[in-house]
Amino acid sequence: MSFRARLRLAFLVVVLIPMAAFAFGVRRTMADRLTSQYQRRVAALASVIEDDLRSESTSIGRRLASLREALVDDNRFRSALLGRSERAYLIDYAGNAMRLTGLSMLQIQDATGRIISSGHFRMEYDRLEPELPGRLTTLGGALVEARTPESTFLALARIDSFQVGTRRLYLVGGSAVDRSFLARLARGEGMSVSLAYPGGTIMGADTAEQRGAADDRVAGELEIPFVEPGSGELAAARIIVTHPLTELQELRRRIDLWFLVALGITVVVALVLAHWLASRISRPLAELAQKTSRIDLDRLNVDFASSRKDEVGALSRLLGAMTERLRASAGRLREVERRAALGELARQVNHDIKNGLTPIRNVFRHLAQVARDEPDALGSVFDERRTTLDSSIAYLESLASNYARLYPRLEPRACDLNATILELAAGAALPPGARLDTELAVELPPVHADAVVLRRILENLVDNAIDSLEGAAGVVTVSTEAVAAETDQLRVRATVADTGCGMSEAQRAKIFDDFYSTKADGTGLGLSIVRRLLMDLNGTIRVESEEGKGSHFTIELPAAAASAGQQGGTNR
Amino acid sequence: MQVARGLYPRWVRPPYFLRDGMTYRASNVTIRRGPNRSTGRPMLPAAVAGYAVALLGLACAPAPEPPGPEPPSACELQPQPALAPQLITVALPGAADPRHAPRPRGFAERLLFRHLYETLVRVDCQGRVQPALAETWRSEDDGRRWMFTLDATASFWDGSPVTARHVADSWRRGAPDEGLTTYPPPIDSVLIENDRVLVVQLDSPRPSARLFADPQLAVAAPASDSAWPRGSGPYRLEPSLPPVLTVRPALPAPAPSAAIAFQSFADADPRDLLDSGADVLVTGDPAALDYAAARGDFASAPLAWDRSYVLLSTTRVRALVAAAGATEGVIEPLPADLLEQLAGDAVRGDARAHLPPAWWEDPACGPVRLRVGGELPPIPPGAYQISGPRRIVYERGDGVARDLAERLVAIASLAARPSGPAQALARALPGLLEAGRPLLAVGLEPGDFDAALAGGTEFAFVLGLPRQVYDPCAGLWGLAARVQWLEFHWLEPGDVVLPLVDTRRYVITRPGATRLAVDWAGDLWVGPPDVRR
Repeated sequence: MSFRARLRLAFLVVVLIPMAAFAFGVRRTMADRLTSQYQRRVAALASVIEDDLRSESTSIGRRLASLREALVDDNRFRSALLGRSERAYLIDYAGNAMRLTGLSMLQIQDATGRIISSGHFRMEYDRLEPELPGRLTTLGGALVEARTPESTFLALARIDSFQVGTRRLYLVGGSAVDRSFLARLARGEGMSVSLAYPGGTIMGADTAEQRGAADDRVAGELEIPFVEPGSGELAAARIIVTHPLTELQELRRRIDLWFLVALGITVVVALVLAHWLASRISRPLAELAQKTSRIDLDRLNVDFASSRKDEVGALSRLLGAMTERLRASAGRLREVERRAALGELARQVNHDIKNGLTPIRNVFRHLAQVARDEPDALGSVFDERRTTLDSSIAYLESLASNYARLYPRLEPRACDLNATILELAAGAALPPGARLDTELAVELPPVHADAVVLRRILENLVDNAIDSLEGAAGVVTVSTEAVAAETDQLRVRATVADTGCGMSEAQRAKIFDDFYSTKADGTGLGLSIVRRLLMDLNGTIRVESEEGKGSHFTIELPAAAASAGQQGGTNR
Repeated sequence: MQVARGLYPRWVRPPYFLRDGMTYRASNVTIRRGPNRSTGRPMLPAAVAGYAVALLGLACAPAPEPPGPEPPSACELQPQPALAPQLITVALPGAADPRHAPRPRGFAERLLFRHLYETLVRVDCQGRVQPALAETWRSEDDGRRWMFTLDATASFWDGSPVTARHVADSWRRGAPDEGLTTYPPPIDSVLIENDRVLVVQLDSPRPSARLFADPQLAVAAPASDSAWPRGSGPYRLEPSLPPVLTVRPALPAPAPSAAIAFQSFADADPRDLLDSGADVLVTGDPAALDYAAARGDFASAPLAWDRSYVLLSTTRVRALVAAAGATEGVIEPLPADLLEQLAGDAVRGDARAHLPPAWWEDPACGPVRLRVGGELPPIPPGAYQISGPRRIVYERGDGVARDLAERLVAIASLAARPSGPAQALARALPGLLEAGRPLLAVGLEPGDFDAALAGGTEFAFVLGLPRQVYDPCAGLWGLAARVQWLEFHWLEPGDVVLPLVDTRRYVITRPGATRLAVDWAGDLWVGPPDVRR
């Protein structure tokens, strides 16, 4: 994990933990307070509903009493009851009376429990329900299940009785306890009332809160008696008052939302801050690392100067001092190399001059001997030996010319590398079957170099490549491209690749040494001069080779504009 | 023929023209007038009793049908007054839809279309075939082929003559929404000999031309300028605003003929119509009859027992199929005392226990039953799912059907232990007393009811059928086509169709307002007799 990542993670942890603790505390406190408040409201409503039910029961009782008075005085009813006149009046009586009294359920039963008239279900006549009158008389009022042709419904029922002749009759009437009834009971805003009885549950309002889990609401209960249909068994029904916790949930949702908003903002700020801090800390380290990566023996002019007074500044200065020491050591090393090279060169020059002078000395000794011993033959002998003298002198002149080429004078300017390559390719002497291809970059920037030196470098590399083909068929490819250096300096790269014999590892290690050659007639100075010239042009060279497959020589030179500022420092 | 015994309901007053001891006989009911014990009102003035003279002629026994035209019968409930009003208002117990014309589908349409669209013949209240569009007729091939000669004066409302081609096209065309392409059973083919003569080939012999009086065979022609087809009846439709349909005599008649305004009261209280000046009202509503009796200026008379309510059960049919048609054992008919109880207490109108025989049991319809299996698509005996809701359904708006369905539910489900009637009912309707699933009575909209009936998707259906049909076999074919799962082709219709009660309506009329007459099927005719033919 990088330094920056660790820093960001630490920031997140530091921010998240306290914020989460804060949100949890707020939610918990709010839930406790609101739940307690809702419980008090539910208890108050349950008390009110109890009063309402008592009031409704009283109202039903009053209506039944009025009906009883009317029935006692109704001679037509009396006649029908005794079977003296139409039975339809008796059967339809409860229906008419139910509509008049505003009841939802009304049935008239005789002492055996037989229904003689039913208002809510006309066809219910003759049904036996013997237990109901007794239960209702005992309880005063209860929930009963009544039915219509299409369904059943619950009614809050009461009972009254009267006598016709010797027959005691019972009036069982009530109000429907349905969704609308329960909805009327729920006065409080957001409160709802439902009824649970052995036959099922009636919801006062079919809201999502009602259908929710028990944890989502506060509930209070009120028990009322329920008479089982048919058997007349007594059971308990419960009116359940519930207050949904939607308000609390809404508050929780809002808190969660704002917590998420705050958390998001904090995280963004923390990440920006962490990024800025990490950048501030790590950038000088990264710069130091980048500078350090550019150091090598050929490039020790990296500037580690820093005005910082912290650890990074100290480290930078240490690296600068180390680079300075390396630079001094490299200078000394280069001097040793130069001296060694000069010694080697002096020995070679000595050897070469001696080789040239020895025939001349021998001719002169011979001429001196002839002049001393046979003066007359001096002319003819001189003529005989003149050829030797001429060849030796020519050799020495050639030798001088060669040595003069070891160190040309540099005149750097903007040079078109592609044009130089094309000229070179046009005059290249290729063996039969060989081919020279060029892959030149379009709009290649000019390089900062001496034109003659540049041609000499490329000529040397191309000649070597052609020679590596050893007269056989093959391809020499010269390509160019512009590359961006690590210091944002634009450089130009040229590659000379061949499909020739290639080099072994040992050969590749020595090819840039003076006087090392793998060719029989080579001087061993070509590549060493090329390397030296490239260094003087602030360029680089590297080689990749595989024996039997070919070699790639890659040189890089600074582009003309980029190197203008460094010219003074790089030319030596 | 049955004689209604004992007291009339307190809201029923016999026709005012009957005096004590007189007998009114219409269709298959006879009412004998007696003192009105429920109201104790004095009898109507003796002046109006003179109208009863005309009715005395009705009390004659049915005579064998003679070949060819017969003298007209005067099956009058009320004679034509000397001074008829210019406009007679008739309250219709339902709406009339021009898309159904000329084939009526309900009582209101039968009453209206009777005046607008004519048939080849008519049948009077004594069962005698009378000429209508046809002047003469005769049968051949033992009644399999019938030749009719149209009356030369038979014409449409616009005066154009009614030709044999018109008759054939009208039968084949039927109502616009029926889209018939063939002749309705039992007509196989129609040969047109000339403009006035047509030969009708039937699928089986008929002893009488009575079937040609069926309103389903009334003649009409398309009208380009009206939703109503051109009629061939004695009355023509006048431009009027709904819900009033005004008709006038199509041709000048020698007898004084008033216009008739038919006013639908499908959604209104019929008592309001009496108060607003209706002259004739047909209803079965006890409250309206009671109100008319209380007013004193109206008279009420029962019409024929024109409806039979039956119970069709998918589980019964299924059980009969499973028992290979056996009717013994658990599959039993409904006991008579149960039917009496339904008619007496459950139905709020005038009802009686069904009086057999029923037309669907006519043994002469065997060939028709054979055709049912061959020509109707095979439908399994009811798509009702055994595990589905047990519902006895009826057509919403039909109060008698609702009363019956609800009482059946009450009998089956209101006792803690199945009572005797419940067990009897369960023996007729397998699965009725199955515990755990409630039995409900549910009213369906007419379209939904027809669809459920056709598909057999409910436990049971309470269905009202005409008590009297002009041709029992055509009626049976129609019922089989409407309720294909009844399996008439191999189950006896008498086993499958459980009759419950017969009902009838009453006509409330203002004395002296107009002439009223009934025909063989109990359909009411308002106005003077059609003297054109």
